[in-house]
Amino acid sequence: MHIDFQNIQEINIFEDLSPEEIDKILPIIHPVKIFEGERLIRQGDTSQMFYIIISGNYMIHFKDGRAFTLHKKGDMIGWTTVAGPFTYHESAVALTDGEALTIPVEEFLHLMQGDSDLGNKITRKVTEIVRKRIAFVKGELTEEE
Amino acid sequence: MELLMDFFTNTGFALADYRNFIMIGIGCIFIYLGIAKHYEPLLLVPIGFGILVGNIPVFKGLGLGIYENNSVLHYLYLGVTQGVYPPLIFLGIGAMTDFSTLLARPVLMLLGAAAQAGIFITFLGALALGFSPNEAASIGIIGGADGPTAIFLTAALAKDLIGPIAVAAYSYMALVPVIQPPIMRLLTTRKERLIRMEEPRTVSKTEKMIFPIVALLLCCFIAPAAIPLLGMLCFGNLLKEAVVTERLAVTARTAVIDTVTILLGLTVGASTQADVFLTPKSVLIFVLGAASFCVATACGLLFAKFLNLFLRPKINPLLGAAGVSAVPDSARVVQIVGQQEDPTNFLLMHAMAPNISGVIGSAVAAGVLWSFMM
Repeated sequence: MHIDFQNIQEINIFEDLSPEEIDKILPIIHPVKIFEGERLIRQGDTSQMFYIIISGNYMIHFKDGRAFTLHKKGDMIGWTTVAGPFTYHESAVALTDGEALTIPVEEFLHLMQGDSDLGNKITRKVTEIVRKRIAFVKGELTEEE
Repeated sequence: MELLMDFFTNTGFALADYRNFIMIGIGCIFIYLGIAKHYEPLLLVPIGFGILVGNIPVFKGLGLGIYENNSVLHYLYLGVTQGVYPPLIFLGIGAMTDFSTLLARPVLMLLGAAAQAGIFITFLGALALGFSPNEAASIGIIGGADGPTAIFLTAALAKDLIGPIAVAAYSYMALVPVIQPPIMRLLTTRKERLIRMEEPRTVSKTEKMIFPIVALLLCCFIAPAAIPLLGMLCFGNLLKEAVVTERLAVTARTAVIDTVTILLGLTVGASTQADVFLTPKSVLIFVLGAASFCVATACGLLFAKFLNLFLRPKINPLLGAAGVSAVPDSARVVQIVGQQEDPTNFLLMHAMAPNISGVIGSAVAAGVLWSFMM
């Protein structure tokens, strides 16, 4: 999978970024192919990176039995590790073949430390996504919303 | 047979005592925590390996040990004892940090200053426990949660304590996510933890460029002894913000800081030889260091609550805990604790403001302490 300016700007958490900001984030984004049944992250494992979905279906599940699926381009897996260091807070497994972007957490944090405008734009987007995801899990939103 | 015995008496096994093995165990734990658990790996792995290197027993006089004048390790260690490495690390930090979160809301700078009260309270505590003023100042600075600053001040005031103080400072920095949350929950109410922060204003490029110059002049006129650290921090930041010096900024925040971190970590680790490190004094330093760190966290939180008596809109007092340096881990901890109450409350970028002002604050505190002790 080829990653360029156009691909990145189409992803919702990056859509507010300026061309200069996208130039800064491009070097730390790595595209990966994912195969059906592949475990992306395991709750409690040492965390290193988070994923942004490009294609495919993924199940997020927790040790207490809660689970939901993600499939939209731009949905994130393992984002919580950016804030809560060291371990993943959830598990994720691919239900189909797909593609994703991986971003190493430490490099991402360095980028935010070096450019707070970029950090603010991304966290604003993530807040929106998390708010919708919580509302969806609680049954307050339909999938289309 | 005699030859074999001679060979054996020359090996590390014959020269070692149980303390060497305790230190080697500690070194292995550091390496494990860094690699397997990702606790500050860039620091803990070099320090852990340095502990292994420093605790292999060697014949004195062969120029092998870090405390022997003609050894390679000794020359590398001069960067620590002469206070060369910490300013170079500050140069790199300046070149990688955007201070605009701070400039957007300067009141948050006060939180970084308030957290430094922990340093001075612990200083008084260490004095009361019988440490000399120079040693007490070096122990107090652990509460600044800034390894290079702790090493810089200790190198200037109490060289014999560099090993224990550096190891304590870096250990507590790595343990920020374990130490801080209980204090944060204890000193704040749920209602306070739910406070949302206003969007920060946009900071202009000119403001960002002027900041390192103004900060240098202001802070170093107050505490001239902070010049080596703050001078390099502000210089690094000017290189970053000036744009025309981007190549130098990139070198400072990559090659320079990485090289110095390797040398600093390895030599600080190697300086923890069992006979100088495993002493009752070291244990006391670890206890006081932990206390200093806890008090600094509490001071930041309580000062944020105090500010809220006057501020409208109020700030989330959890941000006060980020006033200890430990960038960006203490800002991440603020985010975790805030998010446990409200998953849609993103405090991370707001917490970066007191967090980076804590770096400046601890350097100024080190400068003030050094001035008093000179």
